[in-house]
Amino acid sequence: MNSLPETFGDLARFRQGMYKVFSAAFMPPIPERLGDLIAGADTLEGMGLPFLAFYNEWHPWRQALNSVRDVIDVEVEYVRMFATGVAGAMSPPTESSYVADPVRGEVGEVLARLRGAYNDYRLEPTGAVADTLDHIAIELEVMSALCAREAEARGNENDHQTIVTLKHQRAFLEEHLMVWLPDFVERIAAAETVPFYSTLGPAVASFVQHDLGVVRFLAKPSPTQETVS
Amino acid sequence: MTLVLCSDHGTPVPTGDRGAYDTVGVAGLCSDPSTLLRAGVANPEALILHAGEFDLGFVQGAIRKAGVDPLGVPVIALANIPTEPELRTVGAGLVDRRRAFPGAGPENAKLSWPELISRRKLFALKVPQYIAAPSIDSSLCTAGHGCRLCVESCPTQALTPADGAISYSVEACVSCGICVTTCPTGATVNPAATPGQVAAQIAAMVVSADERIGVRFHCRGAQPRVFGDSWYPIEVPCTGMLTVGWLLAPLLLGVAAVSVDPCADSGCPLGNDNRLQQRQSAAAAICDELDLGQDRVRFAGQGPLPDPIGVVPTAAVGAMRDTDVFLALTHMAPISDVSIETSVGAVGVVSLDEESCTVCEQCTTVCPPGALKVNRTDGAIEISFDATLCVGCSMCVATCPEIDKEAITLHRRFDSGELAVGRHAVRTESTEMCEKCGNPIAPSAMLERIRSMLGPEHAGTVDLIGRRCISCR
Repeated sequence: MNSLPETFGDLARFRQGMYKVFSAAFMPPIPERLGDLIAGADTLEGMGLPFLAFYNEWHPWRQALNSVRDVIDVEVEYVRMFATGVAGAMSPPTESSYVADPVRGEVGEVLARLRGAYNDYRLEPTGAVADTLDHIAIELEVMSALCAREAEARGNENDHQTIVTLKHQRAFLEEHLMVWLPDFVERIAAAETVPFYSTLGPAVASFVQHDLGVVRFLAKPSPTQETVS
Repeated sequence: MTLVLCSDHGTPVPTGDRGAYDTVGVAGLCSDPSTLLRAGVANPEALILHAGEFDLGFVQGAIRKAGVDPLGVPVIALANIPTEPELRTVGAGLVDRRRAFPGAGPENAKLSWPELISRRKLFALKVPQYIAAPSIDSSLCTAGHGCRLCVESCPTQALTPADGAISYSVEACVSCGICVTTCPTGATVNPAATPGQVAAQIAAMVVSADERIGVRFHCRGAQPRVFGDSWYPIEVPCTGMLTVGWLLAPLLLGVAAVSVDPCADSGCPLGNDNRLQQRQSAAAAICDELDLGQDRVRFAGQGPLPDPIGVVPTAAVGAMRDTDVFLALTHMAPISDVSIETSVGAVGVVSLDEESCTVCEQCTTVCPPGALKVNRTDGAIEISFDATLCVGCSMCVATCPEIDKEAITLHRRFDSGELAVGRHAVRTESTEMCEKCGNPIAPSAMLERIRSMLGPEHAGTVDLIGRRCISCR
């Protein structure tokens, strides 16, 4: 069986990949992207994903991903679930839809806070996702970028940068992603949809919850004298 | 559905028809858990391995890859090689424990890396292990009414009150399970150690064994498991979670005697040794009073086994609450009419004083398990009490506004008579009715209390509140 990443740097790369795959899964499902998802999932499973608890929820989505025969079906469902509809999207994929009251103008506040956070992290959306800054794909991509930065810092043995980026990861998860993701996933579960999306919700929720535990562990102050048991 | 065991070191692999489950021996399972997959075991129900020779993280990974949630699959390590009958008995217990697994969610998987681990690249990462962490069903939790029993019982401050609910920190939690057995409403659940699972495990072992058996409760962290002399280990997250009910329940399921092992030579790292010994003493005292024998519940002891006292269906054990188990025991004991004072049992008998209780209903509002309830009828109000639900938490006493007059008293005792009665009225009072609209104003005793507080100088007010309800004044 493949083993886990051997170092915390490798672990950061693995987590970067997980966020990247999930981010792509919430973008419009064009054929090329589905191919990329399968390749990415293969890579992650080869990095020891079954050793982690969220594999229980990952596996059904992986099976659904492999079972996609007609991309059109998924594209139609993507539009219905996340893009538009008579009464709006079934499961709006944006943070402000869950935490902000549009009547009070709170949507703008959420987007301003996110803009501030991205500035703090020195991240600038490229526009590849033609949506607002609080879109699920963008927030997952932000975490992917922060994990990549952590891996780089660890590779350079830059302890200060490692700690800073871990704090950013923890803050972003606690103040943004985990605040609304459970409700978003609940909305996905409440809508009858294709297996690709009905299994994606639990998979991403389980992973992000697990990752918050990992980040909290990693962000703890190191003991003065470290030992390995 | 298969019981898997490592066939190294001469462990006997039972053959032939086991009836309810298959048994598969896998060579080298301890040293390389991936052999589980190569052996083609599609649905492992439980694993039996050898102490000190396996990495639990790898084992859990193999189980997960086989398509099963490892939190629900018991994995035990043997200290000594059991005989085939012993293996059959312990295997039957593990399989039935697995089958009673209620399922777990992502929130129940607590990541566990070594506590002190280098975060630099000097050392390789170990494979993470997972233990089952509890979760709280907010629809059952009575924190909104002031219940703080889980918060007060938690040895690591993982639970804190927050806006009428309980905030839970999985990072601070060590998953000892004390909050689970403390919760009076069953809102807190550890999916890997429910009363139903433990009861199923014990019942299956009793049926499978050719002879009378004893069970030894031990902590999850206490390795390895020693078999022998017809005593079998039962794993719980921490023996500090064991209540009097949990210690006595195996006797109802046909076990001859129960023992509870201390955590380690150095004592419980959570400081639960005293709590455990007090509860073991209380359980032993109950057996003594019921004339079931003094050595039915032992501390760190094995030895000869007496005859079992009988068997009730597993479902009758329920949630292993102290009151339910005690009441069931009284039905099977030579002496059934007893009243035993206790300081550690989750029991209580509440009485309300006819003179000083004003029937203000505060006690019924805060009672977490609903042992105290109010019932209103035309012209009267009644407070009823059910001792089978009371956990002796004292919240009713703490909240009583007439406590200085001893309007309410709580006696913590296992009382067979009180438990057998069930729900009954402990205070009935007439209600004053509004002369204008006919709706109730307040219990007569409460109005009388107000009159006495206000005195004659407020005669007009006293007269008004006694005649009209708040809407008609």
